[in-house]
Amino acid sequence: MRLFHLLLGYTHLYYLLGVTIMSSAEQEKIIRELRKEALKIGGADKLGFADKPKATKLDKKTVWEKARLAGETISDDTLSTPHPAGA
Amino acid sequence: MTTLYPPLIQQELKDHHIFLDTNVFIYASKNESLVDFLLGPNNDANCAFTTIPSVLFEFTRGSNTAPEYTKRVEFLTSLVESINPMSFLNNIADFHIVMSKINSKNKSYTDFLLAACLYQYRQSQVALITTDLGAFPPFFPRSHIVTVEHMNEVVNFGVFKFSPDAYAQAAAKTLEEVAKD
Repeated sequence: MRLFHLLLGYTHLYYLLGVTIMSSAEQEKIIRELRKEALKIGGADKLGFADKPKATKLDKKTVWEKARLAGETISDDTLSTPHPAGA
Repeated sequence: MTTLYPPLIQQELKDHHIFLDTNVFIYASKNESLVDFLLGPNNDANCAFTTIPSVLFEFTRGSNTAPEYTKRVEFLTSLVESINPMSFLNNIADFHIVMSKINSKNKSYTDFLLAACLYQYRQSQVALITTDLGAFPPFFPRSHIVTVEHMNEVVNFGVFKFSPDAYAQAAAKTLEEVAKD
């Protein structure tokens, strides 16, 4: 956690202000660790109890009715203009 | 209004956890054929939809009244199996750095979070559906395009996955560059 906070502090200053707060040796050490982590592709978490989801069957009529009610609250303009958050 | 998609998409997404972006909920709330399409992989190919709190926030933003807010929440939660709390976010520092370098032009935090989910759960079968076709770097290859005809508009949704090999290459190169700077 301390490493992460150090890293966050460093990258934040580095990218936003262009200020280096660590020595080169410290930077290189952190980056080496990160690189190891990045290449450790087998280390990810699994989603759910197993690889296969336990999907609940959805009733089309129910979902569409809820969709329609939600859609009534959303202006058609929302669809034709880019979403402000990039959505 | 119709939704067009590759004939084998259900088979190819079988048993996947599928993350949905805000734009999917927005269009689905206006387009019955898109809802039909989404229910296909869910009911016939055992796909579970999921999303993240940031998408819930975006989808409910702009609700003018409490009942409006509730209607939007009810629709979103009727479609997804779960809303991922993303408690892993502090444990993927390498991904933060790689994305901040490679995908710096995309300012959307929600896009970053959805991408982080595909990265974090790369050992499971996960995919993302969004209309933001250019939002992600090449290590998120697009596996399918779904086209929705809506009123006078044609909207393309991309199905994206995560490529560990492509990421490993990009990460190695990026982190090497960062170390030199």
